Amino acid sequence: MNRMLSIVKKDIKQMFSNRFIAAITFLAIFAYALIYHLMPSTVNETYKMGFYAQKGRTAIEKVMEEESEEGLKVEWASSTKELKKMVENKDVSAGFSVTFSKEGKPNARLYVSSETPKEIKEAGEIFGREFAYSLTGNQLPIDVKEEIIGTDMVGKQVPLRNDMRMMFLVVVFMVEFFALADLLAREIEQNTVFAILVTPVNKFEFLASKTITGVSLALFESLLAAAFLNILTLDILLPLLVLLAMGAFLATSIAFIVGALSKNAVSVIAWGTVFMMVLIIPAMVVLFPGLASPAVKAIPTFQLVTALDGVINNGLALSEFSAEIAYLAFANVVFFAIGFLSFRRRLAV
Amino acid sequence: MEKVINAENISYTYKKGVKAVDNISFHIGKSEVLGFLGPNGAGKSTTLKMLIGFLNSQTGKIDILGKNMAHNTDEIQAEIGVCFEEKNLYEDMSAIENLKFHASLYGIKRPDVNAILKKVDLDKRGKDKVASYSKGMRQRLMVARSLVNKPKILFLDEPTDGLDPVSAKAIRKVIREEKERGASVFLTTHDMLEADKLSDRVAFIDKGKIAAIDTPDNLKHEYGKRTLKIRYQENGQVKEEELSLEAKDIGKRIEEIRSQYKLHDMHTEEATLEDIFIQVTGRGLE
Repeated sequence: MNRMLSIVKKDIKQMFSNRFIAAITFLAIFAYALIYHLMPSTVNETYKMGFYAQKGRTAIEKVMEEESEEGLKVEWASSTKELKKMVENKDVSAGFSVTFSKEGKPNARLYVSSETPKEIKEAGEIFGREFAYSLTGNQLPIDVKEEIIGTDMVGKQVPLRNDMRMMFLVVVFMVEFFALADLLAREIEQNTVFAILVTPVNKFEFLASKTITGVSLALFESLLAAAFLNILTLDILLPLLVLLAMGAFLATSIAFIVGALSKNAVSVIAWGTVFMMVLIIPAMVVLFPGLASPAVKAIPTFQLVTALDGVINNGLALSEFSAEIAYLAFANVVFFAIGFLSFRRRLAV
Repeated sequence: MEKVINAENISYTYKKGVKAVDNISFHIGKSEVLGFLGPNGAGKSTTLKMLIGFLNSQTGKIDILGKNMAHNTDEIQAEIGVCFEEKNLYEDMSAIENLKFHASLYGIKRPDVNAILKKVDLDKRGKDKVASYSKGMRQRLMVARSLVNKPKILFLDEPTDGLDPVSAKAIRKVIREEKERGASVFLTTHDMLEADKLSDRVAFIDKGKIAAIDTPDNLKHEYGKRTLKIRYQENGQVKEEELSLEAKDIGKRIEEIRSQYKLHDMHTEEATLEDIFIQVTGRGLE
């Protein structure tokens, strides 16, 4: 055990004596924290609705004053054309017009843009009906101009900066696997591994010590990032530790695979980039839910991000994500076995 | 004599079918230096790898310090020191850090690194990063590293290959000191002169087989032809004549030359190890 700890100590010292690795590791964490703290911490939930009434605007304004709808702000348009423009320019979330035919028959119409989420359309319908009723005294058929089935973007209490924290944590793991893969490839390239293996240290101890280095560093760095990103709280500490440890283990496994495939620092960057590009996609899913295709869901970082998002942003229990954790654990075992065995082959004399 | 290494009928054939070592046997005694000589591809490195536990002999057995290598690799590796031919130091660490790390792998907590570095004349550069070292300094540090655990057997793979005279001299000094300390040395080298000076015995390896193994003197005696070279002046010109020391009429011929001509000089000449290697294997070391 002491021999393994000696290797771990040497590795950590060596990793941080590499100024590039040290810089991207810690500067990146500080950069994430800075971005996080500069972004707005609240979500603007005020619903802005455009309105055009051919006649009876005063009646609607009166209703608004009486009802004083919280979270609703009405912008008036002077014509249907102007109302459409306001919707198109996203000045308002939806537009509602009430016009009258020559016979005096009222006609209500709701305008939404192609990017307007379903909830806004529904809210627009409700507000529109209410105002039209107060204006004409009748229930009016609402003609929805365009209906888009989109993802939930409204009423969501999680600010964007909080969603981005999942991405930052995954990036911390990516940086860590680059650092460890570089260290592994250098041991082979510079033949230093053989200077170690000719001592009483055997191959298993050598690989185990590299695993300890990788997992402990990745876990430490992700916890440091979590602290800077306001995630590290006592109430979610245990589930967070479990998930970050699984992420750290995944990063270490990938590092073994990249280290086994690479001959030098250049090939570490080349192979590492390939893996990083695949593993980073699921981290984007929290920001862009439309990315969650079946193929993306098969990438292990998807399970990690989903569980982290649930625990950190939605306050859910770890047990809610037992399927994700089981999948991630299975992926960890498979990747580690591949990485461990393939790197072991590189140690052959 | 106590045998610290005893290799019996060891062989190794690589996966591509190349038979690198073919059923060889030899031993090394305590405090003995065995020079292992042979051209590139002769099987020196493969033999070394089997002796240090990197490869398993496919036939026979290797006993080191009375223990079987195949079953006691870790235990044996704790008692040996190895200096590889390829440079394998941590260049981003200082010499002291390299030695301390290596010592920690043997469980040595406080190695006397300055004393070790002094042995190879690197004590004044101990805090410098290895990346700033010359080739000779790196090689000396590699030799120093192989000494951190006070090994009972030292394996040196081409330790002076391509080195400047100062570094080569420092390494030869270490080999003599280690021998005096009681360590045995397995030395692979191309340098026949070095092997002749340092080795108690030398083994010639060629095409995976040991062609000859004995003390340098015995090999010279057995295979070399000892001659007497005489130079004398005849009609103002220096002439040279080579006489075999084994020739029956050598005394008569010397007397003839001495009485008829002015003797310039005369000296005996013995075969070098390189001459003997060529004679034994039928080819040179290159």
